[in-house]
Amino acid sequence: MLDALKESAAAEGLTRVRTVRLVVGQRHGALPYALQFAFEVLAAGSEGLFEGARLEIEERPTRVRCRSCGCEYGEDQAVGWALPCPACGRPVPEVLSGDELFIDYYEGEKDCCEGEKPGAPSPRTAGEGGWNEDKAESRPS
Amino acid sequence: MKIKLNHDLLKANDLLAAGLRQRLAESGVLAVNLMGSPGSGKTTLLERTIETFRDREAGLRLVVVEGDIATTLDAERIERKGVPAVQINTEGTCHLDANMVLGATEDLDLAGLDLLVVENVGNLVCPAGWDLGEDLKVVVASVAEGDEKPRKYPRMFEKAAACVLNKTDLLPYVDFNLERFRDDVARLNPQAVVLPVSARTGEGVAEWCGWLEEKLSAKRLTTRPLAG
Repeated sequence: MLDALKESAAAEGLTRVRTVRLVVGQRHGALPYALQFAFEVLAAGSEGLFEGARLEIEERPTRVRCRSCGCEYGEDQAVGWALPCPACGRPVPEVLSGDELFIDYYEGEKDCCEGEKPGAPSPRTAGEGGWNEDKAESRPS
Repeated sequence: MKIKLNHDLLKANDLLAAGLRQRLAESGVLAVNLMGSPGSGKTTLLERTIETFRDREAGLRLVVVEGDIATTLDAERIERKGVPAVQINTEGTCHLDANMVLGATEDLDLAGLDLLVVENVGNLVCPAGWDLGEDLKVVVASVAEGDEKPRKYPRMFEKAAACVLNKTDLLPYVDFNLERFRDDVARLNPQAVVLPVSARTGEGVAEWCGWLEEKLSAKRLTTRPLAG
């Protein structure tokens, strides 16, 4: 994760990463607390780019669709194992969400003495349907 | 400044796996990712498989990649049966990833092979989440482990093309409900074949090898155009 961020920050000319938004699906198996712990340890020891950076983890709940009746439901609505459909009882639905493990976005800064001011829209994010302005927590995917 | 990244953290593995899958497809090699608990009998099953193929399909060119945290014990067992083996020692990692398999196979002449078996690290959890570029995932479970394994480790059984149920010679001595096991695997994965075997006595090994032969033939048909 840090390698991917390092690469992107270098490409964007950023010298400081402030916040990283990571999406972890409920079914994925990656443990948010372990990721949080590892990030804190690595960020603290990184001297520079990630110093003081914060990891925000969005835990995305499992959503599935029944292969028989098309009913969409969450893990909490399935009674029994193998996620049986609450409407028709068919198990092993198609997984719509819950398997994710990806960096959604991150926020960073350039050195103030050179280049643009922090907070100014970058060429990369401008024109993305107001992404930079609307401050939405996460985009619908 | 906010940068939208959408970077999948397992993308690096999936890209390597896709590259390996492409290489294997070009060479017409069937690749099997053999997974299961430590002690379920993966290596013993491979030993019996090698013996059976020696009699049934002389000239089958097979290489085994062995994944273990430590030691070369399993690779030595395979080589004693006359089949080349490459040992990966993960030194703590509980599963194989595509990069490890890539490293283990880069010196192999894939064009001279029919079957590549990757025996994963003994573990019913993590190996299920890592694509190794294989054609088929096969789970080896054993009756001594208990019949509730599909319920407790569903991810392992969900994507398997076959589930080899080993140590059937122990059925009289353990409380294992074969029907319940079959029903549970079918519930998770209706396409999966359950193949009961005893790698120790050899019972059922012929059926398992027959299943593998079908997959080998199918792979040859799809990747090797007839000469002329």
